[in-house]
Amino acid sequence: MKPLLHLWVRRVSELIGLLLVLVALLVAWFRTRM
Amino acid sequence: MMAAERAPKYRVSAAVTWLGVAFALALVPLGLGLLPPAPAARTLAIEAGVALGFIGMGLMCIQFLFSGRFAKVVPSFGTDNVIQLHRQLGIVGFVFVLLHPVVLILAEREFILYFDPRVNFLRAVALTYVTLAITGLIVTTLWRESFRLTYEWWRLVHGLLALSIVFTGVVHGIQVGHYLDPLWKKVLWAGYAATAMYLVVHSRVVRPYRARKRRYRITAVESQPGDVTVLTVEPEGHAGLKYQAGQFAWITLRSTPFALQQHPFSFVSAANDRHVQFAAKALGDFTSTWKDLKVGNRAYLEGPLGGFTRDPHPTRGMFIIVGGIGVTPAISLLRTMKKDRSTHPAVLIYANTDWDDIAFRDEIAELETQLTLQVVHVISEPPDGWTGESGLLTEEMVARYLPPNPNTFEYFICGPGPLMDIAEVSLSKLGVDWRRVYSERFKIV
Repeated sequence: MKPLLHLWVRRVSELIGLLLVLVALLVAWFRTRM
Repeated sequence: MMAAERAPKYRVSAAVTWLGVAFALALVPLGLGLLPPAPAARTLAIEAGVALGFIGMGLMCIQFLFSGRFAKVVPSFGTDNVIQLHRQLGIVGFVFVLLHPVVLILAEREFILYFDPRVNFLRAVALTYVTLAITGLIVTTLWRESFRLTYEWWRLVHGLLALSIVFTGVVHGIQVGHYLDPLWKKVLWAGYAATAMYLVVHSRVVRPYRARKRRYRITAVESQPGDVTVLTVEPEGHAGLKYQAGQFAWITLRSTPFALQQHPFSFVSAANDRHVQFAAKALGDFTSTWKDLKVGNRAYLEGPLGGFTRDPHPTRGMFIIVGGIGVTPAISLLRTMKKDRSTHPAVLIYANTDWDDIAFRDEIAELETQLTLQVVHVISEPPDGWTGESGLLTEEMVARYLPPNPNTFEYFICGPGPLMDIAEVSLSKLGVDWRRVYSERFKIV
């Protein structure tokens, strides 16, 4: 079992990754709509 | 409730702020590309693939923030958590960088020509190199020991691979142009990456260069049970450094401060003591040489760093769980308590394999009589007739010594990984506020 904070750091990193993928998709979508 | 109640050292607000800064910095390259004049859009998949590349570059560049050893950021998270974040965000960056060509090639087969040496030899070599290098960077870090890489070589390889990957990324961006078409965009793109890369140069070259002027001399080499060597160093012709108990410094011994062998070690001496002490167990290539050190040998220190420290005006008790040589910062914390004539309660849970191999055992016994300190030795292979705690650390064991009101204490955990995992999880299950649990893992990779 991994410590709580490590799990949080991991979750936060994954969340940042997902948000950034979302940003990439949104930007691409806006660009193609323009 | 105590009058001088302070906010915990770890705060969600600080985490959100710094993560927000990192997030924004990671998006700088993409933002730069999108600034007008931006080229006409292609298909959704191509645009997304390109955006992934820009973000991948941003993510790679912000990794250099972690090598910068920022004294300001670390205390609000602890070195341990910052290193974990570097590790996890590094993996995220790796995924982005690899997704960039994959998505582009899936979107349009033509993009595979970027990897074709017959079309453009240098470009194909550079992009193949980045793909391999970034994979190598991750693999050698996650499985350093399987590659039999010593810490020194890993650190050098890690830095060089990272620099070369970002450098290739800069050249790739400029060469492709497109979103970076006007010259000013190319300049800003290169400037952004160069700033990030400078952070590594700063921490690996500039800082050691400054440390060269502040030489230390070894004034004592003593041994402790358990194959532990204690070094005392004193500043030569300068004031030395100001440090807190629980912090650490990067040490270089004998050779110049530019040497590969720069290693982080916790201070053992009480806060700000001019006779700076470090202790090491002969475990690796570097620490095994400590016993051969002589009085008069040269040393260079870079620091202090780390946030494994008490509140500057402690109003709380200290609950310390350490294992093996992880005891070193605890010794500094306890010696500082003694120096400050602190009357706050302290509990030290100290895990070892053998009773005879306990470093600082005598001093701890003495401190127990001088401070409001309860010492609990946990011995995994206890001698005959041992009546104390035996076996490995367990949650029940932690619960037995936990103060009745656990959140009036600060918690310090340092030792081998499995011990730290048990300690951290146990404290959390027992209702201890995570914002006052500080961990320091001495094994970085």
